[in-house]
Amino acid sequence: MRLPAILILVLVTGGFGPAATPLSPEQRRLTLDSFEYVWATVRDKHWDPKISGVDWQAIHDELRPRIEAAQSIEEARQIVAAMLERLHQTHFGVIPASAYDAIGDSPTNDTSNQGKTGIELRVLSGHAIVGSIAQNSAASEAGVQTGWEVVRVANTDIAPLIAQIAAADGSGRLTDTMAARAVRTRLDGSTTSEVAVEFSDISGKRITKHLSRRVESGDLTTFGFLPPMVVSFEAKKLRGGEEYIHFNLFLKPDLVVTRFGEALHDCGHCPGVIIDLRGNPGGLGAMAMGMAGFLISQPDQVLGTMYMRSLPIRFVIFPRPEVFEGPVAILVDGSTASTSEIFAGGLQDLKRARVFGERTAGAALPSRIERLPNGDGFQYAMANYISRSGRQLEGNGVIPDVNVPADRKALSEGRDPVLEAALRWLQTETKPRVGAQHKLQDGAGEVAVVPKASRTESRGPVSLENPFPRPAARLGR
Amino acid sequence: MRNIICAHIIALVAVVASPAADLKTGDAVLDNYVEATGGAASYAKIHNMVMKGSMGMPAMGLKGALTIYAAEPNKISLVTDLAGVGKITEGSDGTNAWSHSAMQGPQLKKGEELADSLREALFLKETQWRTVYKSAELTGIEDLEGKAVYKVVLTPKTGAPETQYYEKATGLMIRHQSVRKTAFGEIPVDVTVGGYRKECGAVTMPHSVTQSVAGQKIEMNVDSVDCNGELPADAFQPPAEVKALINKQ
Repeated sequence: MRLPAILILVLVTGGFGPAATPLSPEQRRLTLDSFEYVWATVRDKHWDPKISGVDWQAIHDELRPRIEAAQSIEEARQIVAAMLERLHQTHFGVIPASAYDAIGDSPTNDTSNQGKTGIELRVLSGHAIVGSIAQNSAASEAGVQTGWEVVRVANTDIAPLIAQIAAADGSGRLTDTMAARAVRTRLDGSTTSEVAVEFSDISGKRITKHLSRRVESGDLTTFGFLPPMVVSFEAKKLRGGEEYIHFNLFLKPDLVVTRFGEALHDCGHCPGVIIDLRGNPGGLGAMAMGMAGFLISQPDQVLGTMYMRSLPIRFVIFPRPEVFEGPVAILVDGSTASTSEIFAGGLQDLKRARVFGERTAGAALPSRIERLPNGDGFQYAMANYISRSGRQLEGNGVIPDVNVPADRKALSEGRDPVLEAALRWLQTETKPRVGAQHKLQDGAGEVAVVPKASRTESRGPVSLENPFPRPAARLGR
Repeated sequence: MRNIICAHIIALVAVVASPAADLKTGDAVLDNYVEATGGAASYAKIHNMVMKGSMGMPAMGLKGALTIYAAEPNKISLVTDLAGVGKITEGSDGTNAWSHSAMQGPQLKKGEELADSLREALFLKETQWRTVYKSAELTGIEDLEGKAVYKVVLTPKTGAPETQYYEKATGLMIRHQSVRKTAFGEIPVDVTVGGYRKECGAVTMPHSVTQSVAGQKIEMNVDSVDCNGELPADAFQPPAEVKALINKQ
């Protein structure tokens, strides 16, 4: 089962944690046990028996004395993280035990640490840019606008933070994703708490907003040892009749897969479907297969193959009884990762979807999360993944059919060039039919949402707004 | 690996035997455990079964409820409801076999995978194993985790051979291994069986199954077994999406 590559953040930002907590004798024993567990798991379960050519035993022998001498839980955790970093692969990391504090007998009811500002970030040329803003969020109500740069969050200056992450990411390919997540964790916090955020608009003018974090709309869900996360799903008709679908995670299949199927059913003979996977870090790999089944009618098709040490497992698609056969556009960016890449890359390989945007994160290793003796979570990749075309997604990502670079100026104008490119393509694929009320033209304000008579409240609110309004639009995610 | 869940069924509905000594053939090992645990007559009194319990993947923190309905001659429905995953259904109505979940959608099994599922669905497989297997060969007595076991290789009429291990001292089947040909590929499955208790009057059954597949352990524990009760009318009906696929055939 694939899980989001959420732990990259832990690897990179370990130095920003709370004050060190000294180790008790029992904690020292548990920490050593955890170190050995992590090391042995990689030795025994890494899909490559040669562990990608690194001398794993030598790394153990080098770091074991350091873990024995560690003076705090945090220091020990950083040593384990450093050991995993030597693999230079995604989906290896440690989740601090504190991340599980919210998990109790009723984890899905605990939202105390789920406070969000509503800001979705893009990191462009080393700058954290507001890419989209959730409706009815603190950021939208405070008048935050897309295209603004996040300069400072509370006491943290963002530029040096991003520089530090860039320095730690030797390959550079994950810097943007990691930096966006690092800033996001500083924006997030406990529910009802407030955070001061300093922005710079496109002209360089500094603006400070005090944002009261709140629980974002969606369903709080847990999956195994993954910390609780809010899953949201949005489907709406654009003015040309196209169906626009966005969801933030491949989790909670009874919600996301079910609504995905409903949205495609509603689309019927509409001009096409746009699936927005920008910013989607992935989740359960099996959901990629299940959702592809709504789009592929031919049996025995695969998205790709997962190669474990002992066996390959095909990511096979089981066609649904009712399959949407119209054109499909998938929107991606550098934060599109993991299961999102499997889904987008597989459908691209099958010539079933056309991909728009920027090269994806290239963080696509199937992984698991287990709990360590000291209570920390441990995520490890147990397989490699090769897309249907034979392409390794890890390190390479999905290369869009139509490359549309992120553009701060467009964001600041409330435009979404990636969405616009997809809509232009859909127009060439088919003439608008059901639901089409206005012919698409380029530019802000000319693509709008039309109400769907068949939609029910259970599928979430239907926006009647233009998808490009400022500041509450979801753009450039 | 939804289909692999079905591999448990053979263990969950298996009836085990009292100690067997000096057994010379696979047939003798299999027949002996049937006789020693109540005999064919006791099996014949059971026409259906409902098992309820739990299923989990402890290493990943996944757990949930498990319900199995089984009835003669070869109907079965296994439903798990895992937190964060939702319901996963595996079933057979005696003709079709399927799996279904919100996560992966409906699968109507074909070919060897269908044959495997129908074989596993055979309700009284312990007494009727000859109807689905060509042979049972005793390949030797081995040491398995400190226990002397009979190793029996069963060759089905359709599909790949399976290996079962019967404890010599007790006659209980404690492990079985097979390679399942599935839509996902050929998946080795290694199942450890235990927790034997008497149910349905006179038959001893295993109540715990640990399955190792693709490096993961899946645990199933049965808390209750009810025999010969009234089953829900739709117990073996395929989910609507599967039914639609059947109708499209």
